[in-house]
Amino acid sequence: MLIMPQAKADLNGFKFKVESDTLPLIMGGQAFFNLAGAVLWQTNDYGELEGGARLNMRGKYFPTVEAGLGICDKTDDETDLHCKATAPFIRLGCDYNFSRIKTSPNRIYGGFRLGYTTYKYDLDSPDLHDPYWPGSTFPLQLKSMSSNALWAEFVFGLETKIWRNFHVGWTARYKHRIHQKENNAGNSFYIPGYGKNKGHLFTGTFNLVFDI
Amino acid sequence: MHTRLKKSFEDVTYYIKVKVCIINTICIGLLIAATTSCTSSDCPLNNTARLVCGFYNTANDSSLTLGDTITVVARDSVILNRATNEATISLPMSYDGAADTLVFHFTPSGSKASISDTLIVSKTNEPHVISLECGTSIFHTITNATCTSRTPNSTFRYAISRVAVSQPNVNFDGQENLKIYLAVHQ
Repeated sequence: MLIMPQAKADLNGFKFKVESDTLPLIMGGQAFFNLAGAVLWQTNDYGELEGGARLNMRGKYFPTVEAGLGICDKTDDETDLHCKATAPFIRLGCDYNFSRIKTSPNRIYGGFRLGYTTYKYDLDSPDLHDPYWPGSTFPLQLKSMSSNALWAEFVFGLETKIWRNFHVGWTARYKHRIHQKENNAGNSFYIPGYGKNKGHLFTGTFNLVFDI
Repeated sequence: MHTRLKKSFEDVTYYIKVKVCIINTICIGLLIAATTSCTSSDCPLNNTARLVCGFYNTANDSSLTLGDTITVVARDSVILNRATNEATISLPMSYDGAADTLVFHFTPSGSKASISDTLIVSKTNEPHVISLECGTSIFHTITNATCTSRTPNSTFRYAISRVAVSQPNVNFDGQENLKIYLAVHQ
C-alpha cells in the first residue's frame, strides 16, 4: 500500500522536494530474479540461479536478502583441468535510494552486501605426465573438498518501471573476498555467489523486479 | 493558453526523460551481463616444484662452489646436464614413487673421466592445483635422504660424504631442501 507524500513542486525547474519523513516506515516490498546470472550459467561454464527480496522503508532504505544456487562445471581447454561445484549462497545487505523523488518507480541505488557460502568441489584431470622423469604419472582425482567463503560487495544500480508492477534494473558490483578456507591441494575455480575465485572482481546483475 | 502549452511541453519532456531512462537501464544492464564473464590470468612462470640442494664442505660446514662439472641422472634420464661452478642446484622430482634415486656424476675440469655418487631421497607426492588455467604441480615432503659414501683422491677431488634435510617441503618457494656435504681432497 502506498500513501502519497506531501510534495512541493517547482514546475519551472522541474524540482520536487518530497517530505520523506512523512512516508510510512514500510512502503511495500519487491521480489527479483537475476536474469544475467541465469544467462551466464547457460552460455558459460558457471553462473548463478538467484533471486531475492527487499523491503521499501520510507522510499530511502531497502534492506535486501539475496539467495541462490551457484553452479560451476568447467574444464580448461589448455590444461584439461576440470572443476565442479554446486552450492547455495546467501547475501544480506541494504541499499539507499539516491533519487530525489522517493516515491518514483525509477530509482538510483547504492548499497552493500555481505555474502557467505559453504560448498564442496571436485578437481580432476587426466593423468599428469612428468615432463622430466620418464614413465612417471600421477592420477589427479580430488573429490568433495570442502571450503567456505565470506565476501563483501559494494553495489550501484538503476531500476525503472516497465509495465504495471514490473521493473527492470541492473547493478554493478565490486566484490572483495574477506575469507576463504583454503586447501593445500588446490582451491576451487569458482565460489558460489561470488564468481571466479579471485581476491576482488567486478560483476553485475540484471534483474527482473516485481512489486509485492 | 500559455500555461496549457507549457504544461504540455513539460509532460512531453518528462515522458522523453522516462523513456530514455528505461532504454539506458536496459542497455547498460545487457552490457553488464555481457561483460561479467571477462577474465584474465596471471600464471607463475615457474610451475615445477624443485628439490634445491646446496653443497657444503664437510671439513668446516661452509658453502662450497664445486670446481667439477656435475651431471645428475635419474631413471636413465639426464635431469641436470653439465653444470659447472655451482654452489646450489635444483632438480625436478618424480611425480610417483616413494623414493627418487639420483646419480651424481662428477667430472673434473679438463678431464673426460667421471665418477658417481648416489643419493636416495624418500618423499611423499602431493598434488597441488595452481589454478584451472595455470595447471597442476606435484609438491613433495622429504621423509628421508641417504647417500653412498666415498673418499676423494687427487683425480676426483670431490666426494659426497653425507646428506641432511634442511627443509622437507619441496614446492615453489626455492628454499634449500638438502645440504649435501662433500669431502674435498686437499
